[in-house]
Amino acid sequence: MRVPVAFGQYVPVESPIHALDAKTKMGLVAAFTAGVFMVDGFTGLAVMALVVVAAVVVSRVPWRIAVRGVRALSFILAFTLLAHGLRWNPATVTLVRLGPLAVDGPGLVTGVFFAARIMLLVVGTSLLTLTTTPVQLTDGLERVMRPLEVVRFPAGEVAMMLTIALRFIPTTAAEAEKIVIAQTARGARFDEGGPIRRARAFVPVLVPLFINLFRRAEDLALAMESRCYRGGRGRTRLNASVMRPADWMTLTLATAFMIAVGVAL
Amino acid sequence: MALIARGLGYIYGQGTGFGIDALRGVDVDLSPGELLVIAGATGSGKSTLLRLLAGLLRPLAGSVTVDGAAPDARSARGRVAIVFQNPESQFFAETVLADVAFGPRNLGAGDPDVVAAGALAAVGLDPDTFGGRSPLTLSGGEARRAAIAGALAMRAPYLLLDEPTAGLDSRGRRDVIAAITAERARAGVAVVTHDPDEFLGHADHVLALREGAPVFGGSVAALFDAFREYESSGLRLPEVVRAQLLARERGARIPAIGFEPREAARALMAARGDRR
Repeated sequence: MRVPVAFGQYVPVESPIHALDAKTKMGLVAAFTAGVFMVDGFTGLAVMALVVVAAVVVSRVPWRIAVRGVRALSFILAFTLLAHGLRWNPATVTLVRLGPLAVDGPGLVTGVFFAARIMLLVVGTSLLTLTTTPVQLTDGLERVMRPLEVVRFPAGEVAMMLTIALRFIPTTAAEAEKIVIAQTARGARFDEGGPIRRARAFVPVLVPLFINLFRRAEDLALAMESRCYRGGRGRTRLNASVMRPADWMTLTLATAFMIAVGVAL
Repeated sequence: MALIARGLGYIYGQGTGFGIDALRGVDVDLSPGELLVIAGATGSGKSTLLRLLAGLLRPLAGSVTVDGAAPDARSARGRVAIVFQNPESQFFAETVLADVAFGPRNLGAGDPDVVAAGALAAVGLDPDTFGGRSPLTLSGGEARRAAIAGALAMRAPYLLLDEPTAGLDSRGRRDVIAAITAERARAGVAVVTHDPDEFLGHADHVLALREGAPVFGGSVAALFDAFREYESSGLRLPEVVRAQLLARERGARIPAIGFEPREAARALMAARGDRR
């Protein structure tokens, strides 16, 4: 039994997209999201799909990994299609009738549109985490959130929390897997019985997992304090991320393009 | 009746192009009543070998049989117990007794609490004193022994342990080693360790690995005759033993190599013809 790790893990290859600053990529994702929501026809969606395809190719992320997020959404996609495409006992049948159920042509088209939009969003936005290391990402986030410090929003602390959380996801997943194997060796079964029995079977995994997490958190807090961590204020960076001309150019051009597509199509 | 492996091989990430050749050409024979010490430096494939023997990994080369059956077959379930590194990090129950009883309860064999109490006694923890305590209140050595009791309670004829003494103080190590060697009365025991010195005096057989391949396999007596092969694994025999072996290489007559300094002194003096 394997513990699933969420999609969107960093793919360590070199590409022009990997080289962009994290802040640029966050801006691009925002512009892309806006663009995808602004287009209201299949032409616009097709242009956005081309953008995604081009971005994946340029990023040199393997397709298998790039589209992995879509599989996790297969239920939502199917639900979107069915909710739009099926009609109960309609007055006029447009496409196919299965007893009282009927498939509605225009509804199905709408369903395909929304499903395609979700797929584009998932693949497009997951490129951000696929091409940016968690550390770059949280550094970028900190910079983007810094204006909020005016209203006493603790940007540095939030960024540090995110960094730590991201850092410990693989560790925790590995630990969970280790405990599952150990308890399996003691005769525990995680794939038998009904949902309640299955949920209860995870108690011997979750309890030690949480105990170890709290222990680790305490150790980490002590280690940070002994290295004089005192919150975000006054902290400087060894590798400050800078927006280069290429970043500004990419960001401006791509944002203008996507807003134009969103408005026009 | 034995846990037998022939020509075992394993590669992590096979077919990805980044495969790591973890183990190749390893043979293991473990019968009930025996203690097998599997020694090797970090990264020599010891833990992989243990997982293969327990049926938690499927060998990519060679075979494993537990009393004639494959270890992942239904008939072999509960026949091989395994104790992982730092097993005390897997405690979950409110009391030590309940935690140790987890295995027998899952297997549905006998009264779990009675079996668990027996297992605690076997590792030298009085069930009346320790059974009702929270596992989180135990000392390092006590916790390790309680976790080992959790595996003993499976009452499997084969017991595998991964670095059972790692991170313990000398008293904890002594207690754990006593509990493990005593278990030989009921089971065949295999211990994987990068620090085998304290086990060698109790071992029946020794297997030394280097970078996934066996460099020595045989009895402890054979180990003394071929100790340079054993040491090519990157490990060193205890100084006391080395001193006697080096004396023997230079012609001293030492019929029995001792692990204790007192035995060693006596053997060396006898070889010189001194008497006291």
